[in-house]
Amino acid sequence: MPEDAPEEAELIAAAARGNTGAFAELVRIHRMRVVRTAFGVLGSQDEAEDVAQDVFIKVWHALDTFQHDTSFASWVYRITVNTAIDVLRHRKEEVGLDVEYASPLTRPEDAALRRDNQQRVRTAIASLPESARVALTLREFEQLSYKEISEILQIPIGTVMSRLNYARASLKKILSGEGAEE
Amino acid sequence: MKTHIEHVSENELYLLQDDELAPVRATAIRAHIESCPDCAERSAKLASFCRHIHQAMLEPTECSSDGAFWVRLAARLDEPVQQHPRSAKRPWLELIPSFILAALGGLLDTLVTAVLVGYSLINLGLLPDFGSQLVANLQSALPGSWFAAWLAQLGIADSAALQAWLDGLTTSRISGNELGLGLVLLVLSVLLALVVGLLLIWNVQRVAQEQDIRGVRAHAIR
Ligand SMILES: [Zn+2]
Repeated sequence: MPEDAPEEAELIAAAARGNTGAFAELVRIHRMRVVRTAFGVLGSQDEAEDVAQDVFIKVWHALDTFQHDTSFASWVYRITVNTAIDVLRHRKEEVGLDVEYASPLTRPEDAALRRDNQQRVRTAIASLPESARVALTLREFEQLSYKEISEILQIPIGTVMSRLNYARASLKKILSGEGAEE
Repeated sequence: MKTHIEHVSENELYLLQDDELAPVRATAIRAHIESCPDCAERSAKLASFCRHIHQAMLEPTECSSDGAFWVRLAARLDEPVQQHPRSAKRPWLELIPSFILAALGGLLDTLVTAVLVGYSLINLGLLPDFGSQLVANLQSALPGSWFAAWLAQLGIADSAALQAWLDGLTTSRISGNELGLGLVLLVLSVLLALVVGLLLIWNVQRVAQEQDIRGVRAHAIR
């Protein structure tokens, strides 16, 4: 992950001292990353926004523990992934399964074809194991490199590759199986 | 045109797609794809599959504005550190296994230690043999009871036979070095108490850590 810009390091230091203006700027810079990642893992817009709120609260309280040997973005990604997974597990406990992946996003004015297509892919993604889903989100959604993903998830690059391979192979299988049915 | 590489594996096609190949290898593979219709087709299919996935994961469109997001967030900045929702709702639930384990461990430890210490003390001659006395008293107090029946099953019909049986259990096996065996048993019971105690401490710490992992600090990068 790229080094933090000097201005960002100053913002982080100021926010860690309790400067909410500096923190607001950090939130502005990183918010969409957090929302997108949470959305990728959870598939729900409302939950992604709630997770983003929780993530930044956690970041705010833990700013003084942030070590600059990793980039701020990668640290925030990691907190996001952990928080989203917590929500995912909690949701599974309550509902038993999580099939409502992303339905809030499909708007009625979308072209029917595109909506069906998106829905199919999202349902397929929702059926992936959590670890594969997270790796796929960081790669396909956030377009991060394997090295960045390995840093965020604290797993070897080889494991990133195998999780991605697994996710893609499973998606291919699910989607082509579905196609045959239609 | 012939190239020196074999057909490209799917894995390498993905690596190329993800821009994760070493430049030399990437160049070689691109050259092969250009010259091999087979691999070119597979590569195109794979690229279209990835595009398909990417498009389906389009950015959320109905995000709140920066301003609205910050207003909501700012209102929560002074909140005390929030626990994981599950811990907040049912913190006792997560501690139950540890309580049960602690209770069982404590019970087992107490029982075994008591037996070992009692046995040692009796062998050291520091305690009268309450056990045999109690058994004998019980047996004479409860003739015909289940206890007597059980003793009879063991082949012990009267108190003299019982005393012989108990003597057989204790003295015959340790005759010659009662003091030594007593000391060894004492040391063993202390060690056992120590091990179980450490296990309990470790378990409680583990649970505490798990709780912490759900909180804020553990999310921080070391
Ligand atoms: Zn080829």
